[in-house]
Order: sequence, then structure tokens, then C-alpha cells
Amino acid sequence: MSAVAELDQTGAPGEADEDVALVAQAQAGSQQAFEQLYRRHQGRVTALCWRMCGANEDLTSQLVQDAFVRAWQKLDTFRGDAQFGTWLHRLTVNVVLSDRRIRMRVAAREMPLEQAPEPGRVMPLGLDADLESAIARLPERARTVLVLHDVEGLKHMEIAELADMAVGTSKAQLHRARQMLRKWLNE
Amino acid sequence: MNDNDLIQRLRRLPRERELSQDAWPQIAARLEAKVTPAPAAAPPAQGPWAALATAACIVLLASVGFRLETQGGPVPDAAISAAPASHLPLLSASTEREFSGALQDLLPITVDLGKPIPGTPLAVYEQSLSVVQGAEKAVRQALEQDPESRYLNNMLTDLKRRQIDVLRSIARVSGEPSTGSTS
Repeated sequence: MSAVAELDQTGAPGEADEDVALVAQAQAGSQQAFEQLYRRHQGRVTALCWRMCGANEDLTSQLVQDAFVRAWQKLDTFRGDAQFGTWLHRLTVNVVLSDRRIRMRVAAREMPLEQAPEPGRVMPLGLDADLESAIARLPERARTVLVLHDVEGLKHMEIAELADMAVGTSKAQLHRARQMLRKWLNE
Repeated sequence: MNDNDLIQRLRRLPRERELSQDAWPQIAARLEAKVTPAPAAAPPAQGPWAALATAACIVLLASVGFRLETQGGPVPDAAISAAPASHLPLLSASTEREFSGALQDLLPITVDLGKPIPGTPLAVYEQSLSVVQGAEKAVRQALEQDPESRYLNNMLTDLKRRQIDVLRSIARVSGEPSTGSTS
């Protein structure tokens, strides 16, 4: 079982069962049920999108919308083998990475994406502002691996599959990200 | 701070965040167009104007691809021009007019173009055109999954404008002034 699945099971007892019932209703076409699923999971999806895209609120809002619209479109493929939260989490990572690939191709003829300024507003960073700010400063690939591995609990094998990179690359990016964070936080 | 301290801090970060504005109204609006989940959902309805605009776009892109290919330039990805009409999003009428006008400037010129010499501005611009078309392909693939995405549709429109810029540059370095009819 992946770390993500384990994390999902830390919720209150019965929450997964409620998800199952809501998913069944949503699969039958109930938008009210899907809204309930949105209400239950949007906080987690928002946090994931926000950290992965470097704390850009405008982009986060767009990605959250895209993730839930995609979830609605793909709901028929959810068979209940994993928990809904696990399925939604993986789908969201795919949405974020797919969006990034498109932006990288557009930016390829202008400037390296990692040098490009992130447009849009920045959300309040919260209690761990220094750490959140440092994560947002990381280069995209390093940030992706760090967030998925150290914050979300995915394994390198899962990250490599999702981000279309070698396992060794994932490990190297994680090392690089931690090194940069330690340096910045110790300054 | 060592690795373990850092990892512990990262693991304690809040797992949830709130957007400053609830995203559900926008999501619901996008779901409304689909009515039911994917298996029962019909492709987004397109009116007669949309079909014409889409068809014109396909023909124009195919024409550019043919012209560049016959002159030894980069071969545009066939998937761009061969994309099924039902999946192509609508371009605004002004963008379509702009694109059409730029092509009218370009097409007579490209007939006389030879294979660009590497390193010349023409070769660079044709490489740029290839990059933009590759990006357009990626956007179109994403739009097949989510045709209603405003973000993707805006990006597609932006890519069209970039293609116009490149086509104008090709026209300029080929010795023919752009007529300005497209501005």
C-alpha cells in the first residue's frame, strides 16, 4: 500500500464509506453528491496544487477546477479498488504535471521555465511561512519531487511513474531540493 | 538543520488549504455543459459558425504544412491539422481573421522559398514555428480530455497569435513586407 493510501486512512472512521456512497450517487449523475465530494476533498487538493505550482493562487484555483472537472469526467473509471481520496490525489498530480508540460513547451522558445517569474497572486503562506516560501522558490522538478515525497508521502517509484522520470532522477532531485532548503533555512 | 529535522518539518505541514474564493461555482458551471459523467456525456455542442471556423482553421493549417513541407522546411505535425473537428475548440472570430490574414501574406512568399540555410533567421523562425505547433498539439491533446477548460482555450488562442508572429517574421525575412492587413 502506498504512503498516500495510508495517509487517506487516517481520516475519521466512516469517511471512506461516506465517500463510497457519494461516488455511487455521482456516478449516477448527481452533481449534489459530487459537490459533497468536492467539499470533503478540496482542501487536500488545493494544498497539493498550491505547493506543486509554487504558491500561485491564480494557477492553484485553475488547477483545482481542472482536477475536479477531470474527476467528474473520469468518475466512471473509478472502481473502488483504492479509496476515492487516493484516486483523486493521483488524478490531481497528473493534472498539475500535464499543465506544467504544456507551459514548458510554450516557454521553451522564450526562457527556461525555472527562470520565469510565476505570474499571479501569492496565497498567504501560513504558520510555516519560511518553509513554505522556500518550497515555492525551488526549481519546478525539485519542488515536484520534494512535495510528492516528503510532504505527500509518495515513493520514488510512484513519483517516477507520475512525473515521467527515472527513479534515479527522482532521488537526485530530492537530494537537490533538500540541500537547497537546508541552505536557505539556515541562512 | 539536518535532513531529519527538515523531513519532520515537511511532514508536519498542513495537509489542507483554502482558496480565497470557493471554486465550486466555476466547477459547477463547467459540469453543467456536460450534464452527466463522461460515459454518457455528448461532445460539446458547436454551432454552424463554430464548425465553419474550425474547418477553416484546419484547411489553413494544412495549407501551411503543405507549403513548408514542399519547400524543405520543418514538417508540421500531422496531428495538428488532422485533429477531429469535434474536439477543436472555438477560436474567436478576430483571432481567426488575424490568422487567415497572416497566411494570405505568407503563402505567396513561401512558394519561392528554398530550404533554409542553418543558422539563418529563416531557419530559426521555421524552427520556432515547429516549436509553437508542437505546443499547440499538446494543448489540443489536453483539450480532448477537457474541452471546456478556459485556461487551455486561452492558451490555444495565445499559440495562434504566436504562430501569426512567426509567420509574419518568415514573411519579413523572405524579403516581402507584410501588408499589415492582419493587424
